[in-house]
Amino acid sequence: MIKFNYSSPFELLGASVPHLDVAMRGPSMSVPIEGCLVDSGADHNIFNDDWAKISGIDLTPTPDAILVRLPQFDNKQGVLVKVKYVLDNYEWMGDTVFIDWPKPIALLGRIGFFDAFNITFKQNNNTFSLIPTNAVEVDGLKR
Amino acid sequence: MHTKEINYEQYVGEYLAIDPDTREIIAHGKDLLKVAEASKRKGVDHPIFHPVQEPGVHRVQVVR
Repeated sequence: MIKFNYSSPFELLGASVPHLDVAMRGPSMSVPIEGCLVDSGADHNIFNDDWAKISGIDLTPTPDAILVRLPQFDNKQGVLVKVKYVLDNYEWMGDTVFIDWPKPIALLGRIGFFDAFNITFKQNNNTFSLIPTNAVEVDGLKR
Repeated sequence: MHTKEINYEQYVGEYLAIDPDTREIIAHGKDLLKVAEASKRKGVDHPIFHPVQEPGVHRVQVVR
């Protein structure tokens, strides 16, 4: 089990939220992304398409590409692809939607993250913990 | 881990490129690719990126 504290980058109301630092691994590079929101309200992992460009993940539309729509983002169309992520010394393949959106998005959602870990939120303790289910421990992989 | 010294609120809607060794902000802006390029120009090829996301739609904000 790995345990994390809620964090509060914004001091609005002092409300803390579950954030995680992960690395998105693409063909070009592994991109460390800090402050991804653990969001049980998000169907999928959702990231801006620029993350794919930086890490070298190809989003070129192909006939078998899976295109999705995101109602919460003005019905914008996104591309759904599998992405390799690293968190501490665990890695997993997570379905991820990349969209062209003008503001930063880094959401770890139910498909792509919650299906890789059993997650327990302890709001009153400001902590949450992960038990890997479909994530694989890889020795010496710590960033 | 987040650095206490960074006032994230002033960067809402921007991407930060952070030096992994010093934890200093190397570059920031609203275009991730430009932030990455600026970081490289300053000699940090592999920064840590921090997308300063806006508070979520379910968030409660005090109005008075």
